[in-house]
Amino acid sequence: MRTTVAAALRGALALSTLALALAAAQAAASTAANTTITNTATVSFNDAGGVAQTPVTASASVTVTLVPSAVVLSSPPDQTIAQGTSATLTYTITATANGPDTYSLASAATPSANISGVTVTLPGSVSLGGTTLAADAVAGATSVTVPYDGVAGGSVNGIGDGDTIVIGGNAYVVAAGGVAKDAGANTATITLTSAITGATVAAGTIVGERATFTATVPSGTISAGGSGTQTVSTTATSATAPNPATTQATPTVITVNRPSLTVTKTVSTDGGATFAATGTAPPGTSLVYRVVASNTGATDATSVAFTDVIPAYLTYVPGSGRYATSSATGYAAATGLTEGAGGYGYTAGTATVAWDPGGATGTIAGGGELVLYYRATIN
Amino acid sequence: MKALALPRLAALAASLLLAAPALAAPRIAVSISQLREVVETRDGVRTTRMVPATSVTPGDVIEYVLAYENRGDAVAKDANIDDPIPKGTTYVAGTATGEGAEITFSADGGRTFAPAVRLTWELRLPSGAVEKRVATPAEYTHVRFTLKSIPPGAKGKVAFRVEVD
Repeated sequence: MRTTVAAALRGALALSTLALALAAAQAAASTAANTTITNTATVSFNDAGGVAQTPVTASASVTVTLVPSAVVLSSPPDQTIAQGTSATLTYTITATANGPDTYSLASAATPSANISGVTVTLPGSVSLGGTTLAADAVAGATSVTVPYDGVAGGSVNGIGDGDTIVIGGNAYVVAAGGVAKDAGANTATITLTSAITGATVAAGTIVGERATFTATVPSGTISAGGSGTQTVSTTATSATAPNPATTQATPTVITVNRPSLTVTKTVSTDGGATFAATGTAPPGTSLVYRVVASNTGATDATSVAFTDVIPAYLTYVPGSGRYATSSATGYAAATGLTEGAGGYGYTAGTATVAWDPGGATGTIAGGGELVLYYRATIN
Repeated sequence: MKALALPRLAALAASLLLAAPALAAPRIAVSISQLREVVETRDGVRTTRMVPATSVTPGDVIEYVLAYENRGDAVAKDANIDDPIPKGTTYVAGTATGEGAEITFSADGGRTFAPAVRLTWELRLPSGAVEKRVATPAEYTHVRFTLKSIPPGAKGKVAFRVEVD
């Protein structure tokens, strides 16, 4: 008796599982746009004497139309860029409609309070193919069968050579010359460059094309502080009424950093051993001036150039210029500069010491320093 | 005279009938029209009406109306109007209608037909036993309308509905 009950329970379980599976398959089932559904009826009949007569047939067909569907749009990761450069965001867009459609793209950057607004550059639209499985896509198979879309050509419902398509959540690439159409069978075969992985994907499942596009976001200009943000949000909208749209789930935050230079100038009356903002010394003393440019920002300061006018009652000492990349490096250990070379020189007419090293030397990384030393003698 | 004339007329009719079998034959014509259900809400009242369908979207219900007529001059016997459920559609339960027609369904691609409640298919259980299940309308592959007799000149309609997958 117990055995019978167990068997009955198993049977009931199997049935309910099957019923659930059927319900799920039916809920997801869809037919591709441009599919022709033909109904052919046959009447077979006999005459009064029971002799079979030639059957007659009639058929009628309808075409399935596109049901627009919102795409799946990725949210590119946050980025950090320097002021004056641009961020490039790469989006993945995946169609979920039963046929080909065009999706217009729009993107806006919301600036933080201390940075100017910018215009995001991206393609105006992207066209993606879409279809449905006409038969189960079985794991291990390297091709899938979809409905014929009614026209000849190398692509079916916008899906052609080299396109990436998503079947049951996994992405596959259409092989070269991979679309073969059979109008008679009302199907098309799409050959893939790799086999179907995972579980069998049921007939009626939507097959959507996946593509990528990039959006370029300029930094904008920071008005206060060392950094600001541009918060980017992109929306893709179907061109087909009722125009379902998808906005990226998580906006992409672009942190923009700028260099921030401070300059301090000190003088040494003891030949470069100690430096102070003020000092006293008799005429004839050879003073050492130290000019420190510090980048307190988080990004490179480039093309840093010094100009310093020698005060009255002082005489510049030719060939005394030296530099260091840290104020911890004293005058004695600093690197010598050549008068009239490497952007360094003294202009007597304006009593100006100038140094524009350019290149790597003229670039101060975030948190870095560039130090210029020179000597002048009290008249 | 009238009483005498009748047998003669009957004889004449009989002779015509005797001559007829070589020529008289049933000739069945059939046509399909396809209609799509349109739901309209006007002044808060929801109404549905059927319009001729040329294009459909998944989820739409199509009604196929099959009109038959015997244009021949003899009766047609045991006429079967067979219609496979079109690929990409699913039969809607309880929608097959046809005056005077016996309606049966197939769930095995048209090999066997049975009335809806008696249409079964076999399920192999994990235990190895085979059980017969009543097929659900979603599993129907064909619908058949059987008309025992279509006299000359008679016409009629049968219909059923499918939902576009």
